[in-house]
Amino acid sequence: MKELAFLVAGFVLWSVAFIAIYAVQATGCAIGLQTGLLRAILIGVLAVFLLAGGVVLTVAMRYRAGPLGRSAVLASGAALIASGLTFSGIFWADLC
Amino acid sequence: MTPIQRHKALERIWGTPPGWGRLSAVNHTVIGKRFMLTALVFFTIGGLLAMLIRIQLASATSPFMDAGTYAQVFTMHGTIMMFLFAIPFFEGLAMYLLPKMLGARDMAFPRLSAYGYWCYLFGGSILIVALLLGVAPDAGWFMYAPLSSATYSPGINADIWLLGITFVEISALSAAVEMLVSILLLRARGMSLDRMPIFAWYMLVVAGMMLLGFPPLILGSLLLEAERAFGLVFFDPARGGDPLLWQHLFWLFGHPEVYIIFLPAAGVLSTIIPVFSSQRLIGYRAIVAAIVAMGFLSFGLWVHHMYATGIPHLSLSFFSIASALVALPTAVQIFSWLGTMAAGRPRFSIPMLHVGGFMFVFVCGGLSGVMLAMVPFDLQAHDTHFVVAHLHYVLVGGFVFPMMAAAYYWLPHMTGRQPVQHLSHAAFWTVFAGFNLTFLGMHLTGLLGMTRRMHAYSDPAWEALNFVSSMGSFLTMIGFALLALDLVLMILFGKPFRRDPWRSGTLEWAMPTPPTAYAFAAIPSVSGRADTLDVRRIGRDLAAGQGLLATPRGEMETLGVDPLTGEAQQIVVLPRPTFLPLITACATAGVFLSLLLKVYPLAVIFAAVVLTLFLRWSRSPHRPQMMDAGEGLILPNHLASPSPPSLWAMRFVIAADATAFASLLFGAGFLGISAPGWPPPFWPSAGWMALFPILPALVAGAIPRGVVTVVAQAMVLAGFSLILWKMEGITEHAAASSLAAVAIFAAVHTAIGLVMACWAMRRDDTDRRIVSLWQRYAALVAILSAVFPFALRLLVGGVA
Repeated sequence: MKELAFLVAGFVLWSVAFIAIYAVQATGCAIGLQTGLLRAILIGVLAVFLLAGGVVLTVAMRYRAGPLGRSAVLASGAALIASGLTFSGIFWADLC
Repeated sequence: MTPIQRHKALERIWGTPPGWGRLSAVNHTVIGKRFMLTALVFFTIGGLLAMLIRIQLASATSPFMDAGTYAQVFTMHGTIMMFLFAIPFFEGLAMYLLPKMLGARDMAFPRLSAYGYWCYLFGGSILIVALLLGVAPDAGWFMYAPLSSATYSPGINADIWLLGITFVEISALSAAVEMLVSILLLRARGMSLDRMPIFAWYMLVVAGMMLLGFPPLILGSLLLEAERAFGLVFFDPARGGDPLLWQHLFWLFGHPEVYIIFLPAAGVLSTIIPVFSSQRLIGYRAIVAAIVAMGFLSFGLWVHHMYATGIPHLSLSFFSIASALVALPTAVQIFSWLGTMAAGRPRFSIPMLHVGGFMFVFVCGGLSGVMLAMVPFDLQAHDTHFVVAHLHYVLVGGFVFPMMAAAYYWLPHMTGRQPVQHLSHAAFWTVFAGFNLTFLGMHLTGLLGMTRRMHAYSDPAWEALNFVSSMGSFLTMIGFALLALDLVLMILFGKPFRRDPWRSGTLEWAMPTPPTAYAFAAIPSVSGRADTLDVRRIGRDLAAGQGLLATPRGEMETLGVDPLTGEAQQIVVLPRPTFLPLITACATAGVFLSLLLKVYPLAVIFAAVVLTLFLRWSRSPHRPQMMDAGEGLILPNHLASPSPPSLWAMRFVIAADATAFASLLFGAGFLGISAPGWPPPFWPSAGWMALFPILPALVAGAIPRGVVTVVAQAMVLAGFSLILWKMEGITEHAAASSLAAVAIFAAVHTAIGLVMACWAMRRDDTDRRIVSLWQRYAALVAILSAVFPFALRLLVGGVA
């Protein structure tokens, strides 16, 4: 079943990143964290998820010859790019 | 055994009894057709309501409904089309098609299909009866609080929506579990996941989305009903609630739902286009990745319905970018379809005409969707007729046109007759022209400033556009009437055919048409992609008994396979027709009607009856054993299998339930951080006694079977009962209400665990394994619920 897991792993990470970044931002704003500190934390969280997404993509590429392998590589790659784009606002948007 | 003898023997086993016995039907062909027919009846009602709306708005001087009646009409139009037509129709189509496409004889849980159908019928009927009695819901199809609160909607109208839709959603959740397990486990031998027909991939992802998308809506509905009926606080800002919580919970469901509706239609297109292009689907693997991407991305868009609520720029950027990104996997599919047509030799038969209609209308709707995904534009067009036009372009383009293509493509399968085509072209062009006439101008009406849901207007600039829209809607209605007549003519006078009239390559055509109750005389084996098969040869071979499970043994048997590889793993013995689903659905209706009429003790009694009936479902005359599958293959039956369908079903049920639990915790946290009136004037607290359930819950989780579990779960239940008993002021502030809701959630799950633990003591190993899964999950819920009050207090303390 690992092939099926690789197919969804990238976007599962994207989902977890979404929840984590949204939660950190909302909580940070609510408790009045300094903007610079909050932005740094958000960038750190995003970096962790991008790294994890990269690992998923690398492992999926190793299995690309198997059943669902190519679909898993495409989905993992798409998820990594989606993560980079979706959360890019943490570099330039008003945080709160 | 001759093919005729085999047919008669299988028909005796799989057939639905005649007369009143039809109410005991569990067969996927019967249930699938019932779902679709019922959905079409609701579609007709919804369409008539749309006509009333258009008559009302046709001119500035001719409104004939007062604002209250108009509110009921537009609310019911949206509710019917979204909840009673679109989703149930594709559920029916999927139930009818999936086993046949996958090489199985039925879905994994036929009684669950029947139960889901009855819940859908009864729940939908409650809404229609309310409409006839003049007490239909009237707060809009997304029931925004505080308009839907007891203060502003004091009658029974909103309760009917909240309870009726929750009742209907039982069928959606049961269909989701049913489809997931059936697609993963019940397929032809050798049909690995990457050989599945693409339609099954679409439905696999859609079922996963339904499983995670519907629980937030059900939870939100129950919380709003609890606020209306018992005075608990979740959405009332005067007491620490927040109406935005409703919007979050609703759109957490509501936006994925758009894709839940679109993806099955896209699955139809991905099936039909290659057949009529005489070309294998181009980009199968890319489409699989695109569907998965859409499934996930669609959950990250929900706030794009809430741009105007004043959320921070950063949050807006997440949802805006995700909203634009979702266009990319859609584009992958559209280019794949165009590529398939370009590479092949397209035949522009009637289904393809509707595919063309889809291409035009849906792409227009998609583009206006990208416009609305951009925050500055959305702030201009928000809540105007521009949005109404966009959603109709997306939903009619993305669902209705493909479903009309599906009707022409698969109705021959259901009836054994081909289209006669006398009215088909006229019907298509009338619907197409009428639809565009109705909604194209509506973009302009919206940009001119006409907001949705207004029951009368006086601006002369809007009148011409509204009049054109109304004329277009009548043309559309005439088109649908022609289409219905054309389909009736086809059923009555269509040309009979022998097999596979479209020269397709999927297994549903490798059987007699109309299909027999058992679908396949023998279970096929597949050694390549299952959308380019030699259907006529396979059909002949299967009828001759060349395949697995070809010898009838008096039981309803189908093949269970390894989810990934399609290797034969087990023989799944399915239950016979029974009245139990109908009776259980009647008892479930009793629960909802009692809640609606506020006779709460009766609701508790009906709930106990439902639970008892469900436990009765589990009675089985079969024992674990090894069985001959034919062709020299000996397999365990599902009771002896390490991976039976019911174990998978429990995993999926827990996933859905966990989503509801996570949504509840999110809701309480959201109120704590964002709602006005926090921190609360007092914190309801049972002191350290609140932690009492943790220890027995740990025991129940570690030893999830036997007497120990019974005792442990009883202690957990006692603990939460005590916490609830001690809790004060639960109608005074959202903090107490939220904590009470979490404790009730834990108590209910523990109670279910307790009943299951008692029941499992005398059951076989498979049942015990299934129950163990629940016990572990219920223990986790109990522990998190016990810790949650402290975590919430900490969070709110930090904010303060």
